[in-house]
Amino acid sequence: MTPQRHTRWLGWAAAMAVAAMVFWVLPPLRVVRLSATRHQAAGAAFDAEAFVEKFWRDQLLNPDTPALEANRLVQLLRENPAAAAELGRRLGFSRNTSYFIRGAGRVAAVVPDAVSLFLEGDREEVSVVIETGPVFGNAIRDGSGLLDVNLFPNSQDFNAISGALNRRVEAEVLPHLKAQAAVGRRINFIGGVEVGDPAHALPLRVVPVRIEVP
Amino acid sequence: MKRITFFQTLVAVVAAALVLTACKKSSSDASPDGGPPRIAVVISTLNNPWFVVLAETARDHAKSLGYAATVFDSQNDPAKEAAHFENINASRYAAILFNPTDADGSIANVRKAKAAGIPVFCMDREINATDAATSQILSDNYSGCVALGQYFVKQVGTQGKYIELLGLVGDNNTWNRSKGFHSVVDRYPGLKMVAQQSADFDRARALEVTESLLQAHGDIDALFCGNDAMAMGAYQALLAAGKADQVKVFGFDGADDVVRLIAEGKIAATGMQFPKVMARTAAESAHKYLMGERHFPQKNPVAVELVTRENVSRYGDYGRRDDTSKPAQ
Repeated sequence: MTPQRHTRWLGWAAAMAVAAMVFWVLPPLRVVRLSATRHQAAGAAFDAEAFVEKFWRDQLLNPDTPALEANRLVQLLRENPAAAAELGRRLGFSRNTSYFIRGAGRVAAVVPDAVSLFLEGDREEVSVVIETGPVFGNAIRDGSGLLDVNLFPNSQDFNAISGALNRRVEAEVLPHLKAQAAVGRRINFIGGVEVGDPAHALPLRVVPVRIEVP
Repeated sequence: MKRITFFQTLVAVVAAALVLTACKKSSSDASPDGGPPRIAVVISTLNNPWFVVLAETARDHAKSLGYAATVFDSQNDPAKEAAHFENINASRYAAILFNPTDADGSIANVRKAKAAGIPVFCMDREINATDAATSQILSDNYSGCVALGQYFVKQVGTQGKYIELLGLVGDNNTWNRSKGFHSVVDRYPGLKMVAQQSADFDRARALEVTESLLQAHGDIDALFCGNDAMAMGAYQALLAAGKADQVKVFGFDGADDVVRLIAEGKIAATGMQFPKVMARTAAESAHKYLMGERHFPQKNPVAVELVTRENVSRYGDYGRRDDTSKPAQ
């Protein structure tokens, strides 16, 4: 090998070494397992169940979370629906008003898909019904007033919260109610309620986050 | 006194000209031709009467507020939509009333308009960002379809087979509607979805898709369609197959032809969106912005109401007969 050719080879080797170093530090492509990307994507997606786990524990069941007295709401709906609407929450342009309420009552009737109550301190009339079948709607999410739609870039995430809350009610609250409810028994409840037409608001259809049967 | 040279004079004149030009450019609410300020109405498609109502109401309301308004049709094509935004930004429109083609893909267009100092107000369809548009006026599709799902169960029962026609898969409305519906119907294991296919919110496409699906699933009890244009296409296919009386069709939008068919007992139900409310609210928000208001809710959901044979007399002309302005406030 001539000295000139030797120098050329050394030049090539040096260039390849530099290129190898560059690719090592800044790889133009990276091979990863599909399972790892699936895991990353799942992590990036909104996890409604995890969100609700924390929201339920820290806020909905927190004794400091404000809840309207059910008796007061019932009385206002009978006598002054406009004043009742002032105490509730509306999402954008909506006809429905949502509330987060607490109260105590005596079981008036138990049927396969609902438990109806006479509120304590109220007239002998069913003014609260707790449905024990599948739970739908946004009574807890919107009634609590604790979640702001403007903070959710994708409204599918905001809506997924309602689904997760309703499933939690079905799994954790309603079985206890179904097991304990009997005519004449006293029940304490906290929950959300949606009111459409105030003229037909009663009985309130409450979606409970907590039921106590003393 | 120091003498001003020719060069200094030239620099001063050029600087003054630049300042004046910059001032004119920053004043985006003045039309370049000296006419009224211009508002652009960018619509995902005009190949659907519902969107025509949305576009025309937005345009007419902007005009009634003193603006020149132009409608741009994106033809459900994000590339066309991007080209419209380039044109609008370069032409220095004062505001954009926007119905996006894609919840993610349209964000970049809104950001470019924002960077150009043009406020954007989304109508009906959302973008997946809360820091780009000035405000978004959106149908509460999920809740509307929860109510529709509950009515579906009442009408079809807890046993049966059905087909779902989805809208554009890149649009959040498609999934909010589908998820709201399934949040109810999936709770009844006896209700089996035998096929789910996209027909792109398009009537002709829905006709084709339904014709094809009926070949394999001629024994269905119901069809849930993500909008009324697809409900009309599906109904046409059922009519041609002689199954219109045995299959219940459910739509979503509140389009006039579907409301009429509900009154005649041919379509089971729809969800009334309020395109005129959304368009007017968007135009009024743009006007307020151009008058100096800066505080707008990022998302302003508009309630959707269930329209059935029992209450259909209350609805028509893309809203409630007793209230043409707002569903509630």
